[in-house]
Amino acid sequence: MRTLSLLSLVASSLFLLACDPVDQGGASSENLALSSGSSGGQALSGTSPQAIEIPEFEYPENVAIELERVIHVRNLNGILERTQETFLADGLGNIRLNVTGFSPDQAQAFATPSTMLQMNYLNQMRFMVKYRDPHLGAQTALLHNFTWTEDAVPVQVAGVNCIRYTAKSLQRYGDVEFLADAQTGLLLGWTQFDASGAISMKMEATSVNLSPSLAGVAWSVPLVAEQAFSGPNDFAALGYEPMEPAYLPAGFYQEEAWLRFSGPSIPGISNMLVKVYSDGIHLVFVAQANEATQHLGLQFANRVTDVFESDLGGIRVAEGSIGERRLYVASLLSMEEIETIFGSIYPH
Amino acid sequence: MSQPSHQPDLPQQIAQDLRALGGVQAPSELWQRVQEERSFTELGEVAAPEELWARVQAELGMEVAAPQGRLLRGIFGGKSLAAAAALLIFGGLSIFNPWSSPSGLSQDFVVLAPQTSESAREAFRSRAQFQKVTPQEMSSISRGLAGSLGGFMVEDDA
Repeated sequence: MRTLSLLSLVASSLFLLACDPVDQGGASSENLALSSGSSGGQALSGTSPQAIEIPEFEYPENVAIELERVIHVRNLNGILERTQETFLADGLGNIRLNVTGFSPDQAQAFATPSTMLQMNYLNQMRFMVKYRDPHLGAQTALLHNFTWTEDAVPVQVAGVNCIRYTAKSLQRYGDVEFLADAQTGLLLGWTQFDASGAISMKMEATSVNLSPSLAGVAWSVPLVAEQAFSGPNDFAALGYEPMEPAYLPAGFYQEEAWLRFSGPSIPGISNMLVKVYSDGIHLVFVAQANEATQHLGLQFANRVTDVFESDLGGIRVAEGSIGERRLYVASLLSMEEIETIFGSIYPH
Repeated sequence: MSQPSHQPDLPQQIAQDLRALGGVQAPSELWQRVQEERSFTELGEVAAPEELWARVQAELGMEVAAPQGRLLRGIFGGKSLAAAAALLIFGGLSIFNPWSSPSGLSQDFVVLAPQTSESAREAFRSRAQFQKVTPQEMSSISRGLAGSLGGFMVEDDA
């Protein structure tokens, strides 16, 4: 009983820390953003950002739309590469994301993208729309981890009057800007900054069509079977008991978990568990799977290998093994955070 | 978006009771002390600091005797049993998977990871040997995960 009391005291302290006093009516009006730097007593001007509550956006995949846009990504050499995309959605859950041009910097004209890049888009488009493009997560996290401001002066994006919202990361993971239609909240642009304030990734719409012709569009479909992972009940379906990180960056929580069934497309790997952690905007993937000993013909007992890490187009990734368990951590966060998360999965 | 872990919905009264707790925060170093000294699986063997209850009381602004043998009895007044049961359910589940978000509640009710000392972070990093490699040396799965977040290698356009 003493143990139970202690557990509950600790749990209650944790819970109180995260508790979000949401109004019973569900309205967010009472959840005013913290804004220690710009609230209370500061004279408002026509150009000064104003502290606001958390905005609500309409995401393009939720409306019928044809969106031409450019993605900027900082590569290993510090250069912002550009990719042209066409995004299509029917507002009923179907999406299509095509890559239509690539430029290695900010100056050169767009050229036809390589076959490899087109294949990557074909394989990843569902995940890119869901995870690469920022989406606001739990309100508790958004309040705890960010201060929110909006610019008083609208900006034009693809001919649409938009409001620029800035989420300043209190944990210093990098601020994020959003450009949303002033009338509808449709997200037409975003910029993710790294901790130093440099642009990591940016999207800007160049044309918007809210009455697209969607006849004949080959909508994206899952390439492998997936299902939500609900915890111990799904251990049997997963085929093993997953390892958990003992460390997460401050302010992060588990947003979702899903199980990806292996098959011929991923030889030598068992079913994969992917957990998505978020601070409300920034994401961390922690994935794991068992390597098939039959496939590689090796013994894995007690195997601990070096952890390989690299920067893949602005995303830091680490992968390594504990015995037959292959682990992966991927995020826009710093490599130091990646290493800390990865190391925390290892046993003492 | 896939649904997070399935957990039973809390009764509305319990959810309301929990919301009524407001923005009370635990002592900031509580989590750090727990995290540094013990893993989650060993929490059951750890004795709480003697002054913990007094500090929690001070935060709540209530004068209630520390529970003796009964969980949180009287701490929330007349709603103690319902709130305590909710905390047991939520807290217990959170302890076993500390980062999970209970989907029985609104997705807004999440447990956020606390600050971790630099020494603890260094200790975690020291458990593995990290080797920087070129993107091509990473596996297709790593590339796929990076691609999901928008990271493609320059060579993907070669």
